[in-house]
Amino acid sequence: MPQPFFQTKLFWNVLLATWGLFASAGWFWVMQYSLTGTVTVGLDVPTRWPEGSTLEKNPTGPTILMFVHPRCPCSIASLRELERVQAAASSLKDRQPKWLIIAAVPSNADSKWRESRLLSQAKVLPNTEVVWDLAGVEAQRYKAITSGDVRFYNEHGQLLFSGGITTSRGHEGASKGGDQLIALLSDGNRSMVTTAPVFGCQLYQISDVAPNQSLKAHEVASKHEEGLNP
Amino acid sequence: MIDLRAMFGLESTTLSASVKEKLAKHYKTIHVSTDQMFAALMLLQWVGGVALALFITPLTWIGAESQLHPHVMMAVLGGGLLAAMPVLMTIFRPGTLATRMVIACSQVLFSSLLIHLSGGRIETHFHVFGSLAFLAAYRDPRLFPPATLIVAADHLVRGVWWPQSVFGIVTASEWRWLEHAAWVLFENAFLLIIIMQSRKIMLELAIHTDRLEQRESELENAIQEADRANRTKSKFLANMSHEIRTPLNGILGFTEVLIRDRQNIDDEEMEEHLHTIRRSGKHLLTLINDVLDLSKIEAGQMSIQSVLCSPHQIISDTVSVLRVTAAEKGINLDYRWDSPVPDTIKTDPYRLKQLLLNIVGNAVKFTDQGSVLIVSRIVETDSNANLHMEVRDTGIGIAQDKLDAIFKPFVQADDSVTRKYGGTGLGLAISKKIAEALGGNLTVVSRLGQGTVFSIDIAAGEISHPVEERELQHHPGADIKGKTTQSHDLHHLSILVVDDGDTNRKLLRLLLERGGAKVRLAENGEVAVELALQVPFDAILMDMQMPVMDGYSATTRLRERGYQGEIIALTAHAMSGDREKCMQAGCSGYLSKPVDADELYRLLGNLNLKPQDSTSKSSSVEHRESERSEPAVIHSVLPTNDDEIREIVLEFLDTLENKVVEMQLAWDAGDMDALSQLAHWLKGSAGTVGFNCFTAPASELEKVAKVGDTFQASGPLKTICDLKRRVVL
Repeated sequence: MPQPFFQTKLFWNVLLATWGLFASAGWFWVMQYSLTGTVTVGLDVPTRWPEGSTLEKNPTGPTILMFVHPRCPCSIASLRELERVQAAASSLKDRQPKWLIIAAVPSNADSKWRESRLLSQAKVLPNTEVVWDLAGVEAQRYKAITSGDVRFYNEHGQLLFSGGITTSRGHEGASKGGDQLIALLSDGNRSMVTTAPVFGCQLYQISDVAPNQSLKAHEVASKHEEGLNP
Repeated sequence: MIDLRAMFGLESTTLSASVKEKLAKHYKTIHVSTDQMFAALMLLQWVGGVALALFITPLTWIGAESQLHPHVMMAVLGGGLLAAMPVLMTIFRPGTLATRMVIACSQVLFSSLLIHLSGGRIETHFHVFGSLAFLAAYRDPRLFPPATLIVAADHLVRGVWWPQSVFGIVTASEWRWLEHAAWVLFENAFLLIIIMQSRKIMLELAIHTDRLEQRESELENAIQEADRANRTKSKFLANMSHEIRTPLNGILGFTEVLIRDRQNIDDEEMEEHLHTIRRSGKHLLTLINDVLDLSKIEAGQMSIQSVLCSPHQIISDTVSVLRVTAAEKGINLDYRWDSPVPDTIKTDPYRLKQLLLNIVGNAVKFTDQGSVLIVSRIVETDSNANLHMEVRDTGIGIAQDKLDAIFKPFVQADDSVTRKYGGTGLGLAISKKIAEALGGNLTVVSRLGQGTVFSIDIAAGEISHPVEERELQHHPGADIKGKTTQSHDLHHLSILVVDDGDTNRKLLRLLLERGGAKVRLAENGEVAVELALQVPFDAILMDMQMPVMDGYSATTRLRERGYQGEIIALTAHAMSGDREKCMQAGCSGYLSKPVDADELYRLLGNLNLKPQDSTSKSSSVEHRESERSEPAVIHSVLPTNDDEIREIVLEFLDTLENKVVEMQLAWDAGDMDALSQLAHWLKGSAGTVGFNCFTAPASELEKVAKVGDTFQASGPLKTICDLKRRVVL
């Protein structure tokens, strides 16, 4: 009696090869998704502290802003990294930075937004002020479109860093952006803007952006292709 | 040289097949059970991954809008894909290397997936180390290279494809990447050592288990053998008990009868009772001797001599002893040599005779019709010489499945055999031991219902001066020494044998008739006196211990009545003074029992007897006289030194045995047609193979058988029988 096909060596070899192919493709997909973030270069991020900003700049030292989506799960890793950066900055005595976490919330945001896990963690960070950004107005002002996006302005209001501080999507641990921030804190006299990819949720919908705001819809859309979307 | 494979617990070519099999079985069990554990773990990881994704990253957001987070999809699809193949292979191809490999790869890919789903938490990295440790459960070092390579490739490919993700600072991240790999290798090294130790232990365990199983098997066999021996001995004891009880009952019962009713018993009855008692006693003695013999042999106390002796004499003595029994059963017992007969060989004559008596006695016992033939030959090789003897019978035969058992002590081919033929079941066991002790062996081939051939081989040692066949006196009385028979011819004598023992009477008659004497029998002294006074006898062989009238009284009475002939006393009392007592009674000669044939012939020959009555010589005696003029041994006139001719002549001799038996049976049954046909065959065949001596009697037999004359047929048939005993190669 002939052997059923599913019991033949050929069948299992083919099945194994197919499985290997799919497993590799799956792995590549996971990597692709995890490691592709938003690049802030080209987003026309204000290189000087915006004049119309409602946020208050530190007159004596650097101001570090982190824009977050309160319900973005991946941004918890960004907060952790920010905590690492803060720990590194604690040694600075006279040039202590001002830490602002700007939570972009919809105008009709309920308590789930205001009491999210992310914000609870943000509130316990030392010397850190959590600011509500209704409809993401400030975020749009600073051209931040992705949760976890960080801006570093020195006491003169000059932008020195723009980007993310995680190594990949929601991935905790030392990152290029975090290391750059720490370097800036110890040496704030640099003039060149450094940047790193941002991994997180979109802070607001494009339709929420007011026509008079500088972030252009097509710019956001183009950045989505680079990994803004989850 | 150090066996690295063995050191690391890998299969060595020096291992026995059973150890390899055990080891393979053990590995298979471990592989299959570990496959199953991993299959369960895969499913658990899949569910866990989905739960993790749902808990940590259930949704992704675009402003106020949310949707299912891609991590959840990755957990469902990726986890499902990774779990599916190992589970499938565990079900359909458990325990194979391919399954283990797939599981190993899948497990480290799961680590990668879970690390991503958990947001790269450092704790989740322990999954990699845990997975590698769990893979060690397979005890298969081949699984670590692919698993480790996948871990390394995960980092390497990320570095190539997404360089920005590799720990930010290029130089530092490279070292950390290497550090990661180093830690994995570090763990692998430990796991490898543990695996090798485990494999070595498994190997030792397999060897140890194998030894234990072998010993267990040996023990089991020994127990079974002991049980069997015990059962057999119990059976033997029961048998022995019965065997002993029967003669003992006879002895005690008849002794009791003789004590109580002595006055009421007539002489004949008393004689019968006493005979029964004696017969029973002898039987008991045989039984006890057998048991003692076997005990001695089994205890290694059998002493074996090595002396020069005549094998021919031993064989003829054996045949002499057993011929009476054979004659009583109506079967033919004879022997012949198929090689030059050695004068002497070096062996233990007593043991050889005991062996032959057992085997030939058995053959006679189990043969109810036909014949028993001993065929002997010397087989010489460059280094040694063996005496090969075949005891061929046409008896009941032995079933093939019993052939081995019959040589075991206390075993007979069948319980029914014991019931029908008696015996202790020790004879063959003793015989085999004796044959082995004599430097040879005892084997058997048999066909149920057709007969048996026992082959005895013993070392012949130094063979001295083979006797030329023409010198060999092989005639109907060949069991008597040739020289004696030649020099003391009894053909003209008329002898009365007086003995109360039926067997003794028959034996003496046989011996005397072979010498050519005419023999009459009397069972006691009274009958002897009566007979001797009526018929003149040349000599009377008088047993001195007899019922009714003993030998002393009978001799005295005969002398008183004027009997002048020779009276030779036969007595079992080999005491000094016994001879004188006999002489006083009037005996002229003296023979002690058991009667030695040589002595008997010598004594009768020395008496210088003259025939009492020449008219009493029958025609058959004359016939014998005519036979005496022929050479005692008849050779084929063909050149039997030619192997092929020799083979043909031997074949004829074998066939002749059966044909003559058939002739006798046909004559007994009065089947003259069959007798005629057989005679016709003999007439033609015998001449062809160079035995012309058969032609005339066969021709005569055919003639008289054709006319249906049974009486006339006996003459030539007897001649043929006599001739048959004399023919040799």
